[in-house]
Amino acid sequence: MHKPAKELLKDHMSPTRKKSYWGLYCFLLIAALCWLVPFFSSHNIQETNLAKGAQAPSLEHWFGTDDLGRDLFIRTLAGGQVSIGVGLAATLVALMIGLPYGLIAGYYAGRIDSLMMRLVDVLYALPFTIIVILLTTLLGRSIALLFIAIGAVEWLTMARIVRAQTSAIRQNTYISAARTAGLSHRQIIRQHIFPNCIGTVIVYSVLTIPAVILLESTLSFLGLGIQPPASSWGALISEGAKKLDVYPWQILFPTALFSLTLFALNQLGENLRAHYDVNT
Amino acid sequence: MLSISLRRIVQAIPTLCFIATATFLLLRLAPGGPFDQEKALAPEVKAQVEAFYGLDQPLWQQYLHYLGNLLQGELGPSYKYAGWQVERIIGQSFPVSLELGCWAFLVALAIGLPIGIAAALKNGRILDQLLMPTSALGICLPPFVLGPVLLLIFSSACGWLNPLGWHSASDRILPALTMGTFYAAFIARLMRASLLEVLQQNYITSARAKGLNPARVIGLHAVRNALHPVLAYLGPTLAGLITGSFVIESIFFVPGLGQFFVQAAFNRDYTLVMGTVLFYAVLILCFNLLVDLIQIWLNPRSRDA
Amino acid sequence: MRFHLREFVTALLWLTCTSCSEFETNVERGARTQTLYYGLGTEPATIDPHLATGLTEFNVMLALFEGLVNIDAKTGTIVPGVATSWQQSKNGLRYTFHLNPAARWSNGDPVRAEDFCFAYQRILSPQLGAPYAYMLYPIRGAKAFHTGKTNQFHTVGVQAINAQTLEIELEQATPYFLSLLTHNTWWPVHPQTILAHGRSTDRLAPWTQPENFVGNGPFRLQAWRLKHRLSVDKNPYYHGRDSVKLNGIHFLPIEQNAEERAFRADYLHLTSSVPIHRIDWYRKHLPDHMRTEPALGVYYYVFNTAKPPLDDPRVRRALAYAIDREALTQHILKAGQVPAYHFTPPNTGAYSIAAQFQYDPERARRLLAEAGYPQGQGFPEFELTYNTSEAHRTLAVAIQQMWHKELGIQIRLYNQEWKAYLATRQAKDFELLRAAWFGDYNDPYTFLSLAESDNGNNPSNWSDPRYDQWMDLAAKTLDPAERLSYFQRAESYLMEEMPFMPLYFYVTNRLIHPSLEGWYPHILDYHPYQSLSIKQL
Repeated sequence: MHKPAKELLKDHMSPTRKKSYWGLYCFLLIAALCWLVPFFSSHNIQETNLAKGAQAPSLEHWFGTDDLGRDLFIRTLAGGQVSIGVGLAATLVALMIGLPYGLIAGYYAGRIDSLMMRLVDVLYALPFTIIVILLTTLLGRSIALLFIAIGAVEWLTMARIVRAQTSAIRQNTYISAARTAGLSHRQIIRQHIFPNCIGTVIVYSVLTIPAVILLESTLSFLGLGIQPPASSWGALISEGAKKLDVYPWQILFPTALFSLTLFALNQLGENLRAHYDVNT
Repeated sequence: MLSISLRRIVQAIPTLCFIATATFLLLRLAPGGPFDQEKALAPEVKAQVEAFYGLDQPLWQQYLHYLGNLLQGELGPSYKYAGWQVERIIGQSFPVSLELGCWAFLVALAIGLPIGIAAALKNGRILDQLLMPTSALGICLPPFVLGPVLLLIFSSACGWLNPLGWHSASDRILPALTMGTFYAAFIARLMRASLLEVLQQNYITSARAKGLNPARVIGLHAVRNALHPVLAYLGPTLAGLITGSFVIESIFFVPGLGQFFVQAAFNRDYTLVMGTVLFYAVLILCFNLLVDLIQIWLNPRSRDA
Repeated sequence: MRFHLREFVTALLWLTCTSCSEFETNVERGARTQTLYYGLGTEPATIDPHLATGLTEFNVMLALFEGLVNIDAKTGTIVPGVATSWQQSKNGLRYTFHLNPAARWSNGDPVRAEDFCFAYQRILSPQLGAPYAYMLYPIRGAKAFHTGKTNQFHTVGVQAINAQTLEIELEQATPYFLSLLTHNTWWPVHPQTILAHGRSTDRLAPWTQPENFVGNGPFRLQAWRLKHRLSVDKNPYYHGRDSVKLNGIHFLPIEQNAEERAFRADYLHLTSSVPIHRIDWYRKHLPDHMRTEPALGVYYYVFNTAKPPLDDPRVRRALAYAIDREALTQHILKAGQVPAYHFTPPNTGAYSIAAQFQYDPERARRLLAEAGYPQGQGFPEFELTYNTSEAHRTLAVAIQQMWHKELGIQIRLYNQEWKAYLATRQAKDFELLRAAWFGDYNDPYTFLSLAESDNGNNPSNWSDPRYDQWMDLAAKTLDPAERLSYFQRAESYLMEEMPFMPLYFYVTNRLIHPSLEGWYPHILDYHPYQSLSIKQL
């Protein structure tokens, strides 16, 4: 169902659409906690206190302490900054590469399209996680490299989806009408194709964020993710997993926040998918 | 069908070349080599060893030499494990990954399909509202959390199952369960969405109106037609299950290929890394072809897609 | 096409139950069949004694090979191995070994003196590129042959007088020579097996594969699957087979955390280590299952003495004195490691250094002020590089905090994965580097030689002719007391200059099931399998 731009705007404004966006609110709440609480807290996330290592949750330390005596409540929230940050950044990278790529391929069709999608197919044959592992192992572990590497893997699906959508829209009669009316390619893409793609793009982007967070946590499990003394949910969870039966709180809280965030984002994605009536 | 297969095989060759070249360069770019050790080799000794493996030759020569061997079907010796050929290592460990992947696949289907079907049939009611969030949980709990939790319950606490290893039949259970649960969630959601759409189609309503047995209607027509998008998802999934099992393999000490790959990258075991990457690439290409062929066989109209 | 969920679940439960009913733990099976389940911690890279470098490989090869001499498990003294007796010439430079005529390879062939000559020629051949060939340098002419100055092996001081008599001539007096012989580099190999699968210097030869392998140890290789299991069973031709009580060993290369889990489930008799977070638990609940033994290793940080401000020994000493090592070992390491106030581990070959430094933050601050940085003002930030590991990170973070608190300085932490770390170390592209050194043999020389100018394992850019001279004198002296005094002087000077900053001495922690008998502590972690047996509990 592809509508001209004006109709879509009307849908956005409709009040009945606002009902069950708890996913969005939940995610925003968690993100706010992650950024604001450590800023205002009295506990220093980096300060170690060896004598207080690995203590269970108490009034002073709500989530307990880790092996070095650092407060886990603050560390978990600070870890959220990294995880969510990487999720957003990598998705942005994927978007910045995949969106224009898919638009161009889908719009111009013909030889350009088949060449561009051939490249995507070739890259698709690379075992994803393995390439990311190789990249982070071999080229160093800066956080920028991390989300570029992840984004560079996720853009392929984004490109495919955008291209499919663009290709379908392009076949509409009003597009050829616009061409006859004298609109340039760029104007057509900007005014007609892009607005009709937004729905799909937004849905897929929102669904990519949790996938990226999950990928980052897998890399942390292998020791390749964020480097100490900073931490991420993935790093906290994989460390805590090793000590599950001795210090269960060390894995409990990061996992709860991590799962809740992924859950909220997935829910938001589903809601948006229903809203934009997208069938990917 | 044959023409598609042939075309794919021809297209695969430049793909594999590209992958081989990219991996080769990436490996050589990385700091550290296969023969760097904590108790450093004396320079003359290191020079001898590197000469033996041809690492002292200029890069383009090493590359051509490797490609030449590749065309003859030789993947070379492992640099880290002296006396082991890469083919032997892959030959021993890949069947394990394959078996684990298949079990996980079956688990994913066994859990995901019924949940998706049940949720779609009872759409909007309590069962649906319960099942969907539960399945989402499968997505949100990464395997390195679910694995230790299952181990805690079934191994440490109850003592029913071995904590690790791949010897008896019961050793397959926990790894397959951990891996399969993740994909089960996706399958459940896909199945539900697809079945919901199919159930609204005209031919289903007309079949019901004709008075056909509802179970038969659902089973034969609806589910079978709803399977297509699920099938499209399954191809890359199976490939992913087999290639992405390294987390499970390291938690449960399963002697599969995934573990080797990660270690080989750490060890700068050039030949083992190249061998594994190429092997996986070929595998993925084959799976994609297989899934496409199955789809065409099921629904000839999708050939033009 | 209904999916039969019920049937599937039933089948699954049945599968589980049937597997459980014939459930015998490995520990139970081990007691019944006298089979040891040994956790290695990591996969052995090779079992070729001339190419192996690590302790993991050594533990496996100890079952498969035997050298001229062995170490007695209980007393730690040198006892006969392949050689039943030996004589030393008056000047200490020539050893004559008499081999046991009953010594056999695992295919029945007798072990002859020529096999040892073949082995020494193989390991000393430059083409093989054996990483530990330098262990044989005490032999006269060995270094010249290995470094390619001559390719005539007959110039090397090794000779087979007859099939049962082996003569070795040394370059200079080497008091620890007999203990050197217990290292895998000195073990024999079966010439026909090696030559049947390639040239003797061919590293890739598959002679170590189970179907080809021949060894002379108490066990022989039965099966080997990487990352799964390496199995050995009793060698029927071993000359001491009647005293070997075990029937077989399964070596399992399970990584650390999974290893502990396996041990608790009675899947292993023996592990290679204990995860830190479990140590307190075992101390409290199962103290007799955990053994802590001193190990011959030191954990230290290396200064790049070419980079200011680390080029000033006062700065280096200040940094060393400001660390509370007791706190580190008690709260972070927790396994009984010993704080290190000198470089060579205590009781290395009856040598113990008298002079030690102390934890003295006040003195550290004075030294730092003297060097031009009162209260740490103006002290530039430098970087501590270490290889990725939770333990290294924890320690680094703690030390970072200590320096900040006591000296008012700030440092950055940088971790690299293993190979990148090695490359950094090689290129000397660091300011402060985490390192560890384990002794190759039980003598201070293996530690103190690290600081010599020409040592390739010294990335500190520090060299001092006085130090080299003391080490040289120690190498040439015959009198043990005089020799040790040179070491004392050298080490005191080393701690004054502090190019290496020792932090703690290692201990080996293992989990050992009470049913395993015959395991005694040894400083080099040498545990011959001949003494082990498993009892029914």
